[in-house]
Amino acid sequence: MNPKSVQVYERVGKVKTILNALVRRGYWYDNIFLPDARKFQVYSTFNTKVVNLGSTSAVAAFDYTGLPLKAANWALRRNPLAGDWAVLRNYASYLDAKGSTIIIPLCPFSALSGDYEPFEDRYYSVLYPSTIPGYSYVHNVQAQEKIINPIMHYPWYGIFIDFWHLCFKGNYKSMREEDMVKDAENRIGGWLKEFAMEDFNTPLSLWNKDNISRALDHVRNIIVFCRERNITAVLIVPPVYKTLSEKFSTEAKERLFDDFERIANNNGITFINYLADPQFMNDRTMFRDSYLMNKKGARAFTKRILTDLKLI
Amino acid sequence: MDKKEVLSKLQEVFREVFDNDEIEINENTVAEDIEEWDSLAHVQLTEKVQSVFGVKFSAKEMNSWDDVGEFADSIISKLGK
Amino acid sequence: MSSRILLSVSSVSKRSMKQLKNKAGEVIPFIGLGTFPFQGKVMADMVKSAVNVGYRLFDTADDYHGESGIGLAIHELEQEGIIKRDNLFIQTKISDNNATANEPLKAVYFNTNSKFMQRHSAEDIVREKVSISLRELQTDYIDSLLIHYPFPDYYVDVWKAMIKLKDEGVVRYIGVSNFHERHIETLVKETGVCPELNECYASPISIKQSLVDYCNHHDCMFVTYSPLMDITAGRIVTEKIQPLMEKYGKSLAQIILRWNIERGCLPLPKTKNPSRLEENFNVFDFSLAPEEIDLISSLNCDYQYLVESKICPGI
Repeated sequence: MNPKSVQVYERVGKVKTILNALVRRGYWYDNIFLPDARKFQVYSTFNTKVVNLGSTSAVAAFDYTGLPLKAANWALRRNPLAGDWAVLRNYASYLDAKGSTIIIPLCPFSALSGDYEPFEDRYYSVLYPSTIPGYSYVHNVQAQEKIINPIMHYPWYGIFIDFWHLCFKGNYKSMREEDMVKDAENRIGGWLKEFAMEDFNTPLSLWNKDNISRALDHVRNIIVFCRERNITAVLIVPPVYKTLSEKFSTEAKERLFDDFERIANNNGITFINYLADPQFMNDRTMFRDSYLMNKKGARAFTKRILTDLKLI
Repeated sequence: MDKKEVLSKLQEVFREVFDNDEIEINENTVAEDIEEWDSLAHVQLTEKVQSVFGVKFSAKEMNSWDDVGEFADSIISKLGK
Repeated sequence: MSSRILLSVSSVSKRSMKQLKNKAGEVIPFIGLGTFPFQGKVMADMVKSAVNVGYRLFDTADDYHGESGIGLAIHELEQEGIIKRDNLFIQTKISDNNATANEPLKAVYFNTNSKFMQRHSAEDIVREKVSISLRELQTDYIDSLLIHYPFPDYYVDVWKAMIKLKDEGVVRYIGVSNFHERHIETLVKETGVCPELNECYASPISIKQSLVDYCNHHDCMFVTYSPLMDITAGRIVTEKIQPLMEKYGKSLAQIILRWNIERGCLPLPKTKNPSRLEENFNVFDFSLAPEEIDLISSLNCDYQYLVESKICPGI
């Protein structure tokens, strides 16, 4: 290569490094490209006493800020129970060997959500290959290339997203009551469609039953794993706003949670269902929408559950 | 990229991570030669190098380098693949 | 045998329960050479230099890509009449191919998600890996074979296969690496055979006393990998050790290596730097008093550098 080309090549390399660094600091990288991966990439707190696993609702529902113990939120958005099992196996060395607590939050449809194979690219940045179902070397090479060079995959609209979030820092306004009603209807409609159900009263399909069986297997695996390692497992259902909790009839709750409660009871595990807890479900100021808690709600809920578990 | 170029680029990284423009490194430089090189800096250094060179190291590889020369050899072997 | 090696054999601490012998029946020095990540000619040259210094134990693993370099060294040393294979002690490991970041066979071995593991037994895989190691090392036997990690769901079956290989004479010693007490207990419970070695990380800031005691109690030699890593990473505070360095005229590395030896732990420092090779081997002309050993151990803060579950999920 002639010296001038080398100079150009080096300058392009420097610009690429700077752009990659900027993209990695933006909202798009952490929330759209590799949602919730960063906290695992940087996690380094040994002897952690309490962690929660979980999916989207758990990402929103737990906030340990200011609490007097080493705790962490290990939930990821759109994360199935298979993901919880993989995360626990990968990060268990950070837990206090003398005794720690794992909170396993269940979404209303945890039982039906199956495994979400194949796992998304973000899991390739936080999990050991053998714990990623459907792992392949080729996919890993492609995923690592994206993770190291996000600028090459940055969409044209990404700069607007990052700029907007930089200015407004994701401040969510609480919805009005009528919006909460509509939001709940939309969510229930979306879930029923996703899991191929007409309503909660129709018999479960073979596909649904398979997914339930797999979900229960993952929970059993987690419970056994915890027992072998002096970890206390707790199963919980985070709260939702009343417009959403009303949508779940007694029969629906039986279908969605009874199996988990039975496993918990058979294994001496605490099971607490906060779905319709009066402290939270009637207070709109604790929720971003009918399903997800906001910061105020997360802090109140986290404090409540740790108090109920006598951990603070 | 040959070893000389890698060492030159590494020197820039070292100077940035340790915030010291006077740092001079060579193949035989070890942690004891640089006052600011502690365990946290070691992690920051490795992350920065992965980012700058576009390579990835396993935990085992990251802990296997005795001196800067071995660090550079690891980078070269990855760039070559 | 040279006088240096005789000294290195005779000055092993009274605390050590076990000594390792090569096939020629000689007790090998109580220090070995770690070899990751060297490969090829660089590896061969390092091993040859180390043999000239007095090293006899060389540690590698099937996924380090370094076995062929060691094999080349063995071949050249024999050709040059410097040393015979039977006077060396070669240790390798059964791994799940994880040592390097861009390993194409990651997640294939000892993984319940892997379709490959549904088609092949652990024994098949161990036999294949050992046959490859023998070929790469240019030898017809391995002195010591270890399981690299307690691969969940597989390590008992891997151990059973290794017991068979030992009975067949392909392997002389069998052991484990990165095993906790409960993993060793499971092996003993399932097979009645206790590992002869357990290779783990230990350091003045992570002394692993209960594991060291457990291994010593069960006649399982504790072998320390990366014994000097915390010096390289700037994690050892030297104020307490400085007086010992001055008293014995030894470097920090030499004091830490001797501390390992006094505890009955065989250290495996790694370096290809000729002067450090010599320096690391030059630890048999002094010994540490019990209170000096305790002083170094008092630096312990149960430091964890390795997030074991990220390397062996479910450990």
